[in-house]
Amino acid sequence: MKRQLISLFCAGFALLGSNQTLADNSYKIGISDSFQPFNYRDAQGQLKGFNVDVANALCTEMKAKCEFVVMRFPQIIPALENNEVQFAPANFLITAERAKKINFSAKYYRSTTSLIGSADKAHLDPEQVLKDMNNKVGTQKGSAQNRYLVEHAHTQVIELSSIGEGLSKLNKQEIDYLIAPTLFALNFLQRPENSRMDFIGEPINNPTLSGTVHIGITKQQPELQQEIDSALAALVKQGKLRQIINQYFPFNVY
Amino acid sequence: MPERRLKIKHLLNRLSLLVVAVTGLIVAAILLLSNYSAQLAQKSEQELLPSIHEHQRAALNLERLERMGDLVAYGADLALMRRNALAAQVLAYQPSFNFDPKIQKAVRDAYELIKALRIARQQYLKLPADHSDRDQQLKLLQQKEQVLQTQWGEHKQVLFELQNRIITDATALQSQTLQKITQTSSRILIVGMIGVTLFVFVLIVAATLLRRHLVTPVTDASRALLAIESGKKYQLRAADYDEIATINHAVDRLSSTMKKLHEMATTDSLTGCYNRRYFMELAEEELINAHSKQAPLALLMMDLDHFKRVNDEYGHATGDETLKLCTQWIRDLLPEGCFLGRLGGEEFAILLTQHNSLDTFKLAECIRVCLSEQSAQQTSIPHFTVSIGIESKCYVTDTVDSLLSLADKALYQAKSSGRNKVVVGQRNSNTLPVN
Repeated sequence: MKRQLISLFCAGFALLGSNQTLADNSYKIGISDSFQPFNYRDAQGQLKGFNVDVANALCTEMKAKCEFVVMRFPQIIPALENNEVQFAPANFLITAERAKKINFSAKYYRSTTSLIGSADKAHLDPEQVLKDMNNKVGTQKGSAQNRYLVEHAHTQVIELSSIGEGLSKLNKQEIDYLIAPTLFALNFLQRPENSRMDFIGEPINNPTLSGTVHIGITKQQPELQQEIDSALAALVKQGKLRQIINQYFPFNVY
Repeated sequence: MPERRLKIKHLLNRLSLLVVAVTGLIVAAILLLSNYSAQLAQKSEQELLPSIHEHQRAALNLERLERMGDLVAYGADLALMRRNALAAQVLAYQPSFNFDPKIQKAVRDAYELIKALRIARQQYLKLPADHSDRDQQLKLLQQKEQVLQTQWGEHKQVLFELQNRIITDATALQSQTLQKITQTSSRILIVGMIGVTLFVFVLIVAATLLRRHLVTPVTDASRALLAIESGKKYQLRAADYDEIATINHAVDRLSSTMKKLHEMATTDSLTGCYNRRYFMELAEEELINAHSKQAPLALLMMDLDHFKRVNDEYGHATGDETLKLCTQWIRDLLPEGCFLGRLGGEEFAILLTQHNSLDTFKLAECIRVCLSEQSAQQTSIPHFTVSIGIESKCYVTDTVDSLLSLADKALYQAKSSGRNKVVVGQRNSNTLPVN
């Protein structure tokens, strides 16, 4: 009887093991490539950045084969919906609209949203700036910031397909301000060539624009959310996420 | 109507139920507590641990903020100052400090100071060389810089104290969790001990009930059986349970049957006095007793005179009635310790203890006279007289048989010398007065 039970257990474990190896453990990761320091290409054209490192660490933790699929930010959510990519570390703030389309991981860092512009306007209150109809404010198309502008601001809203485009427009003074995630803006402003630019006042005080940031996950593989959360928790526990954060940010953003 | 009593099975069922209930209660309490402790562990894993980490991160970030401030306050490179001022700005508004409004405010104040420092120092470092009144300006800016640097030094102390407080809070959270876990485990211990005590108590109650309702009645019944065997008295308590009541009833029945059998074996069915066999048996015992105590003992043989004639003339029923009444009258005359036996037909024997020869003779005479008088008054039977032969114990060699045989001889003498007489055996006749 005992022996039978043991062999049954063995068989069970063997099945589990084989299941794991048989399971579709290769993922496509949706990512954009003009969002330094989160995801960008270095001088050699290699994908680099915080999100790239986090994605790689997650894949290692999940023992999965991963492949990056580079796309523009507005394409990422549709790609997740169609299961063309399975997850996307794309700095998602959770909104009700997005939650209908995709799943979200646990938080992987926290952020706020800021307005940047010419340094001589740094003393202005961003809320006032956004009320002025003469101002042109650039925003990443499809972002939470885009939605916020449409709903709350009276300014002219310039929707951009990539945030990099916004930065060059700002430099060329084609737009007056750019609304962007603060940590992204910090990286841009800290570069010596951008010393003419600065934050406009404090980060914008709105719950839809700040808080925890999440990885987007396709709804078509419901078990993937749990898997990514476990891997993320393991990265936090082992201090690996902190290591990655230290490489890209001047303080702990978790 | 028989009383309705519970079966022993009910008692056992009740006791089992009690034990099961108590065990269930204890197990439930322990499960509840262990569940609580599991919840605590889960809570500390899911809430307290992240909170502790949050505190630790905040403390480290405060330290970074201090370093950024230092670089702005004392650094010489404008680009470096700018980079750090920007970083400090972002850090000051980072949601990581939101868990404590006091910290949030202190960090934002720190950032305002850093901003002021940056502006002042930028002005100072960038002051154009051809500025009119440069020395005066430089002096003013330097003073302003120094004031701000002093302020920054003071604010750093505030940040440092905050940092300490955050670490203390984290430690408090940790020890709070530990305390709760220790508390729970000690609670589990207490409940376990109470449980064990309760269980022992229940076992004691069960044992007591079993003893009272099962062991003691059975012991009593077995003692009663021993008492019945040796002809002694016994007493049984009222039973609470059916089976014990049955046993007690059986014991009582056995006892009364034994009594009846004993009566049948020892008495004469017509007169109710001892039969020959039992009379002999008792007489042997009394004789042994008298020998050992050197006490007097006498045997009387008595015969109803012409009794055959009563049977013949009045019928056996009257004969039997005569014997019955005769027995009754003699019994009324006999003192304690003396007894009467019917040896057969109309022949009786009487054993007297504690009577010397004279008393024995007097009693025999009394019997003879009384029977004659009472039978004369009794209308249902004819008048009758009796003859009595007496023999008392003289020697240690005397036996019941020898004494009876001697008494019988005396009786024969009484009969042959005309009946309605008391005759003392030859061995004793000289001790009596001549009448």
